[in-house]
Amino acid sequence: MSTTQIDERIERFQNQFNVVKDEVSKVIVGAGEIIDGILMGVLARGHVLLEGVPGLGKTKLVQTLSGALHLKFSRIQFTPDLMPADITGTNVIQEDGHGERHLEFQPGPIFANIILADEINRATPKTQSALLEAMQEKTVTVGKESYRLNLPFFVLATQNPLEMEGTYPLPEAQLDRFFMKLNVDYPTVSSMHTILDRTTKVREPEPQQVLTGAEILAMRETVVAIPIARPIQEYAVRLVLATHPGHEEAHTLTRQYVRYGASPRGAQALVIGAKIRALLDNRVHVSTGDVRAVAMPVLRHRVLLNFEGEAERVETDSIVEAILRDTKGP
Amino acid sequence: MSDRDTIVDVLGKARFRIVRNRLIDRAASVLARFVLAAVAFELVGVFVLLDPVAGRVFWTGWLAALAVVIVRAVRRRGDLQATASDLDRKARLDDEVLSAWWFVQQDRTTPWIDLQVQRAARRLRRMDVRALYPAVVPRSSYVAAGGVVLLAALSVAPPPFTPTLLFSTPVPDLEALDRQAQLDAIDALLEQADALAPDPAITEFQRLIEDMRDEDLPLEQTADQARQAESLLDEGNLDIDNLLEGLEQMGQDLQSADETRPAGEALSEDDLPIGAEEFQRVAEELEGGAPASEPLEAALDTASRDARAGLEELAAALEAAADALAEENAAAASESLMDAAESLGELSDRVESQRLQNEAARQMEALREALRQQESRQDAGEAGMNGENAPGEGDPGGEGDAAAGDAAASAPQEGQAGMPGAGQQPASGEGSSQLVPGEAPEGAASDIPPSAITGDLQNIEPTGTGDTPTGIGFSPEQKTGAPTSLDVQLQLLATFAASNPEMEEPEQPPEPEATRQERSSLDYRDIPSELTPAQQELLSRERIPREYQNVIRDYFRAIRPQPDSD
Repeated sequence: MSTTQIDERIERFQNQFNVVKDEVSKVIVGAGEIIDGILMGVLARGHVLLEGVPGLGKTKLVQTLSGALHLKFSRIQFTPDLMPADITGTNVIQEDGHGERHLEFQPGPIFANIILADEINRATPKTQSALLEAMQEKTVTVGKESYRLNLPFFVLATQNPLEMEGTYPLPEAQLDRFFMKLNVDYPTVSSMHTILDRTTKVREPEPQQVLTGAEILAMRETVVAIPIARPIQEYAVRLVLATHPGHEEAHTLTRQYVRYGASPRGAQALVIGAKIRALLDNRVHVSTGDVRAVAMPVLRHRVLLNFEGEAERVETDSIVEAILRDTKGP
Repeated sequence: MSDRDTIVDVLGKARFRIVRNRLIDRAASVLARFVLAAVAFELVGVFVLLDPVAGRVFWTGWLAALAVVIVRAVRRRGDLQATASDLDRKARLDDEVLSAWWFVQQDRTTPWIDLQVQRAARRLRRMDVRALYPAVVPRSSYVAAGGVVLLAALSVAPPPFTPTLLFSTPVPDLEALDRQAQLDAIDALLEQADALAPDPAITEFQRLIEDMRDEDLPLEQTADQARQAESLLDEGNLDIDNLLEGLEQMGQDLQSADETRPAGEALSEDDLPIGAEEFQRVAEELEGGAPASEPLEAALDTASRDARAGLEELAAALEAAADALAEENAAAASESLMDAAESLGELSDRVESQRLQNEAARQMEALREALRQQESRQDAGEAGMNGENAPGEGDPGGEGDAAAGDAAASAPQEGQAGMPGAGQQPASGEGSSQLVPGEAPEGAASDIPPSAITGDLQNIEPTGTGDTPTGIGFSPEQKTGAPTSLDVQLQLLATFAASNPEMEEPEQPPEPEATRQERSSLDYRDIPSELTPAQQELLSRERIPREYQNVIRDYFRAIRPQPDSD
């Protein structure tokens, strides 16, 4: 591959990314960073957890994104009585024309490309864990059979931080499988006006399908092709190690308030996210700035507070901020 | 140049500039701190006379530490990765150079890496490293420069702000004092002075110098010799000052005539060689037939009348010239003026000779001061080794008082011994404040019963009846015990003398008057002083301002005993 071809690939990547973003932005107003984050998650083969109070358009955002992508979309409303089989599917007894009965697998809603796990924290941990295999292995095992999910596959989950009654916090293993956790905040005044202008008309704007699954997979190939220099990678590693309370490079706040830090999967997410940012900035090299930019959404849900941190209501965001502030670059 | 070479080349240039700037910054910062430390040290030296050894140790350590810091800064060159990172920060390149340099080092080649290196090299080719890393003058350099100026100012400032260690005249090195070399220098000055105007004082001085060359001579004796030598040379100063004053007066008189005005001006300015030349010029003009004016005659006549001691010969020549002019004898007048010029030349040699003697005296004083310090140090060292500092021996004041106390005790001041224990007074201390009858010098004190001195008042006959401190009216308890202060002791003595009419005031020998040829046996320098070494140093440096010299000279002239009064 020549450098010219690489330049073309980068340009194509940027165009496709921007096309999707523009398409989503037709419906979703004032959520540029959230859209970027979700698209980065899609391109990084990751899953994204959206957290925000009700009414901020989390579900709408995911629906719009699925509308912009030429992919199969499935929505799962998580409730306390939701069972794992309701997600993965189950074997049911079927009777054929000869009157013979046999078990036949009925795929659940997880057999799609984009899964909206709405209010994921309302389901029991047992049900939440039904997603573990699917999110990481991209397979579903029912009985003795494993079924491969269609690629690309990614989960966009939402959760509400306010109504904690009757909810089940996501287990650590589940949290770690999310590439990013994005906090959806209230829109600004101007964004609010735009939302009202768009949504109180007779006809609301609808996204067009602008990107296919194959194109998404090609974009993923471009992302992972970018080489990253060791000094930059070391910086990402140091950031992750700074979240480990037992490590010598641990930050002071980490030692005081953190029970578990980010896993190697967190470091992977940092590097992949940084690469995507570099490509979007028309660069073929990754910078520490890229790593820093993605560090907060990548690390905030991977830092688990200890009892002292919970008691003092320490925000994991403040810990990550302190780490970013105090960890020196190359 | 390949992309790889470009990257390495630019990084090398950048590293050179980074190291250079860092070195300048570091050196200026360190220099500023060191110079400020030196200023502080010099300021301490203003108030405290620091030992030259301490000064040498400080400056040696100062230079060594400065050198170490600078060498370490030079050796810390920094690697190219740090340079690349710094370059990225400066040029806001988002780690582009750092990434490219790292891949260049790894020798890995993929199209993506090639593109990275290619882009980085392209950007570096357009980059002006000089503009990115300009040579800057750090702020600390201004502080350093200010400190250096302050240091220099402190060194050239007049006393009492002149410190003693850096640029000012150093206190002679006590250990390495090259006594012989200094004596040689003084001797050379004296030989020059003797060649100009032979003087017995110079010969005597040289003899003393020869004595001082003996290395085995005790320090104390050497210092005494030096003091005597100085006093010999001081004798001539008064005569020279008187002589110059007389010449100045004559010069003013001579300025009244046009012919002798230049000569008069030269004499007023103490420029005797020029004055002599001017006299010669006037003499030659007269010999050549130039008409003599009446003011010239009057000026010469007036000048000849203002003659002072030492100027008789010059005055006689001028008077002869005036007389010759009055008789219109130009040849005789010319001859007399030539005599005056010759006399003036001799006077000039005398003045120059005295100046050289003064310089020799100054050097001798410096040598003596060094010897004194050396002696003090030796005494202190011996005292430290022996653990001696016994108050009972009249030496509570330390080394300086010890010498002074000895000098005072050894001084023949029997006439003052009417005050009991006066001989011990300079060495005041716990031991000496307690009077011991046996130690009282001969005089009235020896005639006083020991009981009076020791406070044994029961032996004194009570003759009064009051409660005054006469010893009468005291209760027996009050009458016992030793007097505790000098005032009490003196009161007791007065009371005792009043109650014993047969006790006469001892005859005190008349205070011998110090003459020009004989100095007081107790040098004023040996009087115990409570001044700090720094104050003593400053006092020893002080010079009498020129404008006050005449006043002081007139004062001493006024109090000098006149020959008629005897």
